[in-house]
Amino acid sequence: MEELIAKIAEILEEENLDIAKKINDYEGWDSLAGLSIIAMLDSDYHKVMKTKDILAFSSIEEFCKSVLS
Amino acid sequence: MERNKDIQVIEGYGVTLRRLTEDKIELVRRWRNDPKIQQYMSFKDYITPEMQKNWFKKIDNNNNFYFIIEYEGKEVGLINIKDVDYEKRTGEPGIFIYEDECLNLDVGVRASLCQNDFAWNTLNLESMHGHVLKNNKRARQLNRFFGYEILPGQEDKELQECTLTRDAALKNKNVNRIANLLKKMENI
Repeated sequence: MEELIAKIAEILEEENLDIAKKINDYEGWDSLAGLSIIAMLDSDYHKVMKTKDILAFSSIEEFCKSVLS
Repeated sequence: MERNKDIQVIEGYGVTLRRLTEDKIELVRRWRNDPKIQQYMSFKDYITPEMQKNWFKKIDNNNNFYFIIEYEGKEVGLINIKDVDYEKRTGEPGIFIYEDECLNLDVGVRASLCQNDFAWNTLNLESMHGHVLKNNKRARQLNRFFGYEILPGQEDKELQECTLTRDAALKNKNVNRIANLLKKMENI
């Protein structure tokens, strides 16, 4: 999970992510960050997810668990 | 080029763009007069119904293409290419998303991808020239993503001119990657 968290942190331009927070709680979140995450999920994890789906998770941790499940 | 006039609907990347018709100009006027939209427009005066009707008469033609953006069946914003010059093969793009719940989504990118396809493939433009207010962070980010360049000497101006050529747009790997991904998602 750490690798995925690091990739999300890089996209959000955050050094330390609190994975209990929602992804869009961070200032670095915007539609383009969302698209970067979608592209990363597709290329690195072969997962297809819409921005809306990503925002539906209650925390970054829950999102990561779902991606890695 | 008269065939362009017939284009009423553009569908792709999970959004539908529906050509602006007179029965929708009041909706657009309401959006446009809302301070959250108005603040990012160069024309900031209150728009009356009369002004809106006159504006529509001027843009309901083959040189201006205004579309209501629909996302998941809901009308959420407006996108356009205006002042199309078929000799110079240029036009001016514009977009606003009214619905707050769509601002954090990628609806603007999806609609802009449709707009780009329309500009390059249907209108056969060579370039698009836009204007963006310096304080419109969201629009500036979107422009950067699509490869728009601020014209030299404009960096400190409040209203900045930016341009995107067909060649640069079609070679933009990031945009092409996202476009392909969104197309793929449409089919899932």
